[in-house]
Amino acid sequence: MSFLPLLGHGVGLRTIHYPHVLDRTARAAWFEVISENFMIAGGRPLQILEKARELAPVVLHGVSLNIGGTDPLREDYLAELELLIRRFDPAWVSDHLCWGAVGGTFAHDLLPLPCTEEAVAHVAARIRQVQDRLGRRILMENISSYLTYSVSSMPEWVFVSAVAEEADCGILLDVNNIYVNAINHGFSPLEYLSGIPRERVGQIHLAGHSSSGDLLIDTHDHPVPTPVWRLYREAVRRFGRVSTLVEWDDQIPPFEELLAEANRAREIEAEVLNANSISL
Amino acid sequence: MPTPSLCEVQRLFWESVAVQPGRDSIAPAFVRLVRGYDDSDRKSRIAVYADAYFLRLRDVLREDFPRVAALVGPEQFDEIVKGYLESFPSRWPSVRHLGHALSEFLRHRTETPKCLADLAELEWARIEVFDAPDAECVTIEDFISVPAHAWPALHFSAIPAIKTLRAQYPVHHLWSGGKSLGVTAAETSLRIWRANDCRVFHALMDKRESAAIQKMISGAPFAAICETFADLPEAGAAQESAALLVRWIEDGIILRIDQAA
Repeated sequence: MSFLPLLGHGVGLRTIHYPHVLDRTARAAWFEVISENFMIAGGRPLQILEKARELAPVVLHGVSLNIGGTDPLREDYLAELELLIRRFDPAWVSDHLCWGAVGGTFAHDLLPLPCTEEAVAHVAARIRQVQDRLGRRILMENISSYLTYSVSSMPEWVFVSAVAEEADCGILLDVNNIYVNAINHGFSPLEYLSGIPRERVGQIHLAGHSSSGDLLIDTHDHPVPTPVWRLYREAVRRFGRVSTLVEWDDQIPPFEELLAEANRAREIEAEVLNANSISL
Repeated sequence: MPTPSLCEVQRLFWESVAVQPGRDSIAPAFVRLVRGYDDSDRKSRIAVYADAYFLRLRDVLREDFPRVAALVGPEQFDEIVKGYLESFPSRWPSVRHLGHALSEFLRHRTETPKCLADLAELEWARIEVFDAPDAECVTIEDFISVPAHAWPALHFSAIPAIKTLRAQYPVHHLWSGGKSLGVTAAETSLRIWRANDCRVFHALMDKRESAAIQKMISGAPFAAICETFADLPEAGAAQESAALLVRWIEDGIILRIDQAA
């Protein structure tokens, strides 16, 4: 997306990595942090984020905006997000295309929306509201899901694209989530990729998942698996150079291993783009 | 059947996964809204979310209350969490506030020993000071320039990252490795604070320090704080007051000194 800088291949910064930030060995191209973890008055996490910001660009990635919910948007949440934006000057801000609260109570989960015209209009209006409030365009991430609704009237990729177009926001394309959903709901991940508008994709996520019976679960507790790397190649072919981030949230490996995953993504991107330029 | 609105879909979803956490409470109307081979497939897909809701929040509470969880054991902790989430579902976008009322919940729960509520209060206080606003504390050097005549009127302020706790049980023993909840009741006062290096500590206070710290927090002048030791001989009172002040300074809990006009 033209309004975003191209940051290369970064990693999700988690508590276990804090010592690497303090001794300045966390040499990633950029860091993504969970916004809510820093919505606090003071203390160590904010100090660490200050130091991380000195090492590399930082992106704020939220999990509780509840953009698809039917409760009013929480002004206190947006105010805290705005404070973080002012303090840390993130390269961009993102959250998830989902819902997560009802009647003022939060699930702290990313719950799937029905893919309907009503949901497109509802979510797009709320994204515009958030963008107006924050004075910047944001990115919305496609989530992994374990159920779909009988009331859905369009494929997920059409829904994601329609929301982004109507809200005029960016898309944070999670390639692992596409793969997980393709297996869980039986669609072609390549068809998904080809249905996403190129100009809207501002960031790519890569992660690992687990199996549970017939379903794949988006656990972020494994290395990026081979099928997701394959799909990433296809994503690079379609979208070109896009800032890409490796997420790892459980059973987190040493920082070097996480960085190695980001480097692998960088190599794959280079391979695909070089091959593309040769074939041209 | 008319197409349910987005609001109705979410209400049914919520009812199925979050209203009775950890229990099978899937709404039949919601099952019909989910695509699947059969009802069993639909229910198993919904159950992924119901299980995740309970397990995720249970894990958050276990991380925030590690001593409570360890002392009651996994099964009883799960039961506590189920009841707690029903009574106190999360009201904040950030999950870090989830455990704010666990102590209150345990205090009214008849099946758990009374000391558990006190222990939960201590563990929550430690979290609150961990996230409290930053502030610079005074050092011994700051006091050197204070002339002797100004000391009685000196006003101290406590750093924001400090809390005091009055418990009915010796919770500091339970926290530091007690293996049993069978402790004898004993009035206990603690102060909990975040040090300069961001580590969180708590310390037992005797009655005098407990009274003195309340005076300090409420902004009383140093002379009023010293009155806490008025029942001691004059030399002893001065010595005790000075020792207390030095301890507070070393622990980094005094924010600043204001010399009263």
